[in-house]
Order: sequence, then C-alpha cells, then structure tokens
Amino acid sequence: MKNRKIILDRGPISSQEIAERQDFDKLLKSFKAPPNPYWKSIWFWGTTGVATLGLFLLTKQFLTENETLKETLHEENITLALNGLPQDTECIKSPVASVEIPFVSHEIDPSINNEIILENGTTISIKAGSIETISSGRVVIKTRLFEDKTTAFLAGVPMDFKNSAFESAGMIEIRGEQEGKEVFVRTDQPIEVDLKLYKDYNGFDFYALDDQSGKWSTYPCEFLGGKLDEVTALSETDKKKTVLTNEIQSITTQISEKENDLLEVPLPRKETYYLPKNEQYIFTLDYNKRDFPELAALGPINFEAYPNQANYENIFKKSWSNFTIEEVEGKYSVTFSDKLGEESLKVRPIVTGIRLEEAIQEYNEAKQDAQAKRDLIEAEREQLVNRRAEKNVELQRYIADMEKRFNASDVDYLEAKKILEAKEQRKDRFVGEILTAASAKFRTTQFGVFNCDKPVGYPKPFENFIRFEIAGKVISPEAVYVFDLDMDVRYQFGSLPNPLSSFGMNGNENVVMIILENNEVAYAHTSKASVKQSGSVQLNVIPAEKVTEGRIKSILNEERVSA
Amino acid sequence: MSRMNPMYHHTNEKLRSELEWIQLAKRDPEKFAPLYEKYHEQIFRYIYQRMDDKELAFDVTSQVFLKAMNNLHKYEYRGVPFGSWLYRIAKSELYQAFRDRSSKRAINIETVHLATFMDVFEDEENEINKKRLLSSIAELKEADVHLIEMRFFEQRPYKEMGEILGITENNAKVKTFRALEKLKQLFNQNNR
Repeated sequence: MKNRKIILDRGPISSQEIAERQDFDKLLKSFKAPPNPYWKSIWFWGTTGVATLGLFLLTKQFLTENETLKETLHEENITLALNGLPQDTECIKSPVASVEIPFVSHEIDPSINNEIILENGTTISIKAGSIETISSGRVVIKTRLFEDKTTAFLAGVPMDFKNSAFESAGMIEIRGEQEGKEVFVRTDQPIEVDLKLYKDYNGFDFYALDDQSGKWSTYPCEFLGGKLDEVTALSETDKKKTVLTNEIQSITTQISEKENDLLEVPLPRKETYYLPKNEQYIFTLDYNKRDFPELAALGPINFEAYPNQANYENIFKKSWSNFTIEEVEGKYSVTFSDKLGEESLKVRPIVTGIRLEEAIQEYNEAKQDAQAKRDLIEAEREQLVNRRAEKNVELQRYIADMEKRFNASDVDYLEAKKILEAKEQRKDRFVGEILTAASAKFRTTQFGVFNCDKPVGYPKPFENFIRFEIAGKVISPEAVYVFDLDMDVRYQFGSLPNPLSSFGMNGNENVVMIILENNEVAYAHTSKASVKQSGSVQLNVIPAEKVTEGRIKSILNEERVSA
Repeated sequence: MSRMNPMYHHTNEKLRSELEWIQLAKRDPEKFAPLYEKYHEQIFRYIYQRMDDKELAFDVTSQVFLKAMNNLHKYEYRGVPFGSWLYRIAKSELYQAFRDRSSKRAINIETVHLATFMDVFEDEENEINKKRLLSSIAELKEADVHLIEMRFFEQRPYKEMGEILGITENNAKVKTFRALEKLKQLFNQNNR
C-alpha cells in the first residue's frame, strides 16, 4: 500500500470560495524580478570580448599554419574526402569524352602520419616523409574507387589481361599532386592501402596497371578477411536482426492501435438504459410528472439511490413530510425534509414494468454487440501480442547467433569493430561496407591503379558476322563493348586480339554498347540466343547531352540506393 | 463520457490573445493578472484534488503562480494553452509540498465515480467491491493514479491530458487504458 490517503465524497468547494482567495497583489509583492541576465552586463562583454578576440587570433594563426583542420587519431592524421577533381593519365582515357569519373581529393600534410579513409572504408596510410615532395606545402592525394562496371568503363580503365577480360572485385586509382605537379612515393617508404573489396575474392588475384603501356601485371598483396562468407553471414544476421526489430516495433504500434480501438468500443452502461443495478437501493417516489417531463417520457419509473451513500439507511428508517427532486446536468438528487431538517440522496431513474423488459433487451443487445466487437479486437490484440512474443524469441536467437559469430570471427569483424570504435562519428557511413567487405592490403611505392581481378576468357565468337543496326541502318563501329550483367565483366571487340569478326557473348543477360561520333552512346539489352537468331544487334541511341554516369548505370543495372 | 473543459481548451484566436498576455506579462509582471485570474481556480482544483488540506492547497496554488511569474521569461509557446505549463509547475510544487511539509498524497473520489469502474470491470456495486476498488487505487503506481484521476475523477479529455503530461493525445489514451487494465488486475487480485 502506498502512502496515500483516499478521501471519499469530500464536500465540494464552490468557485466563489476559490475566487475569494485570489490575491494577485499579494502575489505581486512576493514576486522578485529576475536578475539582469549575465549577458547584458558590462563585465560579461568585457571578459567575453577579450576571450573571443584572443581565440580568434589563435585560430587564425592555427589555420594559417595548417590551412585546414586536421583530426588526430592515434598520432595519425585522418583526412576526409574533400571534393572531386577530374584527371586522366595517358592510358586511362574515358571512351565518352563528355563524361568523367571524378577524383576525390584529400589534402594531407606529408610531414606527419596520415590515414585517409575513403567512402567504402578503404584506408590509405601514408607515413610521415613517404611522399617525395616538391615543397614543404600540403599534398593532394586523389583517389577513385571503381566498384562497378560503369565507373571503370567511363573512367576508361583498360580491363583486358592477356587474352581475357577482367572481372573486378575492387579497384582503386591513387594519385599524388603538389602545387599542380605530380609527386611520387619514396622508394624506401611505401604507403599502405587496405582496399575494401565488394565481392568474395576467391579465385581473384591482385594487379597493378602500368601507366605507360596500359598493361596489367600481378602485384603482391595480402588478402584479408578470407572468411568473407562468415562476415557476409554475420552481416545477414545483422540485417535480419534489424528487420525483426522493425517488425516488433510495428507490431507494438498495432497493439497500441488495438488498445485504442477497445477504448472506442466501451460496454454499454446500465444507466444509459435506465436499468436497475442494486435492487436494495430502489424506491418509489410519487413525483410531479409535469415538473419532469423527461422522466415522464420514460414511462413508469422508480428511483435507485447510488450505492455507498452513508445516509441511505437513516433516510429510509424515517418518515419524511416532504421531498424535492433536483436535476443538474442530467443527474438527479432527492432531498427529503421535515421540520427537523433535510437529507439528500443522489439517485437515478430506472424503468419498470414492460419498459424494463424492453430496456433489458436493448441493453443486452447493445452489450452483446459491443462485447462481440471487443472480443474481436481483443482476439486480434492477443494474436499480435503472441506474434510479438514469437518475434522476440526469434530476435533473441539472432542476437545469440551474432554474439557467437562475433566471438568466433577472428580478423574481419574484430578489425571492423575496432575501426568503428575508433571512428565512432563516421560509423554510419562505414558500417555497411566495413562489415561486409573483405580487403586487399598492399604496400606500394608507386601511385597508380590497383585491381583485385579474375581474368575471364572471351566468349566463343558467333559463326556469322553480326550486324549492328540503329533504326534499321547498319553501322560500322570501331569498337563494341559487351557487358555480361551476371559476371560483372566487360569485353571489348574491335582491336587485336579481339577484332569485331570475333564478336561473341556469354549466355547470360548482356548489354552491347558502342560509342558513336559526337559522344552519342548506342546500346542494346540482348542475349546470345537472340543475336544468333537475328544475326544483328538492334541499338538505341542516347544523345550526347543525355549520356551521364547515372544513365549508363541504369542501363547496366548498377543503380544503387545510397544510405 | 468526457467533457471539454472550456476554461482550458482554446480556439486559435484565444491562444493568440493568451500569448499576447504572456508577452505583456514578460515585460510587466502586473500584466500577469489576467492569466492569474483565468487559471487560479483550475490550478487550485487540480492541487486540492490531490491534497487533503485546503489551506495548504491554497498555499501551494500561490506558490505555483509565483514560480510561474518568476520563470515566465523562460516560457516558450508551443501551441498549447498556457495552462499546460502551469499544470506542470503545479505537479512539481505538489510533490515538493508532499516532501517538505509531510503532507500525505490524497486521492479524492466521489462515490458516483466508482460506479464507472464497476461498469468497466463488470462487477456489482457493493460495499465489498468498493473497498476492493479503493484499496486497488491506493496500490497503483503514482503515474497510473495520475492518469486515472485526470480521466475518471476530473473527467479531462485525452487532448487536455496529453497537453498537461507533454505527450500526444493518442499516447494519453493508450496510457490511460493500460492504467485501467492495471487497476482491473489489482481489483481482481484483491478478490480474496
């Protein structure tokens, strides 16, 4: 029992009595005006002004020295992506001159340790003094991540290796620049790159592109996160956990709605139907029907006193010489009086005779009706509660499963977790990628393009010469690109060792693409069977001004919803 | 079942004019008078509903308005009547009074209100059930008592309850429903 006092039927207090106790003047006397706010005082402005000026000068000096803000973590400098600056090397030239895949620039101070974190979680660690600089100023590290066919294609990265085409699991281009001139990595101080991959790299190798020849050669790297399946499973579990949590939340909302619905369907009250509730409190009064036409309209009635009225027994033990009925807002009270005094009783009218039977029937029907509705809602609510309980059990299972996997996982997850913890503020940006991606870690003393790839053989050529047609007109392209949408691979025909006469495609869904003059792009979604049967590829044309990265991505089914 | 408290609920126009009073009162405390007059009875009744001592209730009411005047410069208009802010001060002052003056928390109930619960619980109105119910109310947690009090004893609409408690109308409905369920549970437990 709590420390409370229950007071039953305390006498009312009138509005007049409360109004009489109003005393605004007294209140006003007790009121103390709030002190002048500190920020209005001369002292505040004097002190703050000096402090602000000092701070301004210090900040200015700091910015002058550092040019931009640096963030330090474990004695390393973390630089975030700033903006995009397009640039191509000789061998990397976009096939569509009007479209560029921009670089992301990161300004670093080469005299201290730097860690650049890219959007997909890839990190580039550059130790102090690793860059052969031109001056003591800042160096701009420019990066491009190629995580789909579109970006690699539009950037113009060659993707052929010997007689095969490359299927990529992750590719990065890194360049260095100072004062607008190219800078290099010192041969004795390699930089370290942890390239996040977007695919399981089993069967893949690691390559670097020779900028001069445009040819790829294998490059040493350490693949990390060999248990990609495990990490993926962990990520899947995490996703399921999120789905379950959302489902539970949604069910909880539905339960609340059902509870709300129940409030909207109350059971009928006997008072509404003028039905008796307590037989022992019923009595008859011969009242003047003309004074209470609303009661007369009910037909023959009795009165029932509300229970728990202390004076009830006394009133009916005694004979009274007079009584009056009073009605206030639909509520009735009877005052019995005689020469010695008076007693009041709160009462309500109840119907009798045939009207009573009718009212009982009406009440029962209404009750049955409301009860049926309530039962239905209750049943639905019960069902939801049970469903929520089931989902909760399922959720607990997933949480336990996740914990088990966390403990079992050695490199991937723990490393990802470490990065996440260290970079809490960037957690949202990286969480998805870091949790799912394996990585290729390599040390290099050169800037350039690095690629985790798997050579995939060119398809068997069609036996017949294939025509390329635009609106029924045959064209003679110099180069034709075929994108295998299932294998993430791009084939290029039109030059040795793959001339147009050797044109072929895999049995999957393919997109054929030709760059026309004036940077128009012709393309066709087609299949091996269809081309073989018709002997031609019917192409649609995108006008040059409408050729964008987004449009090509849409054609190659690579549109992604970014978080 | 519920009735609108005309003194509490306002049209947009009235809210605007109340806001003008507040702005005037922020500059000149004497201009607080119309707000005091408007809300004095409401706040007193709210306090007295939860207290046994009438004089103390008047004292606490004065404290509420004094505190409101002293802190009026901090008041921010949030689209609800000024009263909701006063109720929140009243609640805080009330509990302060319980702590400071050893006054006991009281729950004032009219017999007629008990009938409502008997209807909801589908039980008979008799002396035994009445005792069970009162004892169940006394056992409820303070937050639940507050909801039951506002809804069933003071007959406040959910909208007003929401504004006083700083929650949505819908949330007030759901919370009250749950408080009622708890009361029902306690009532059934007190069967023996």
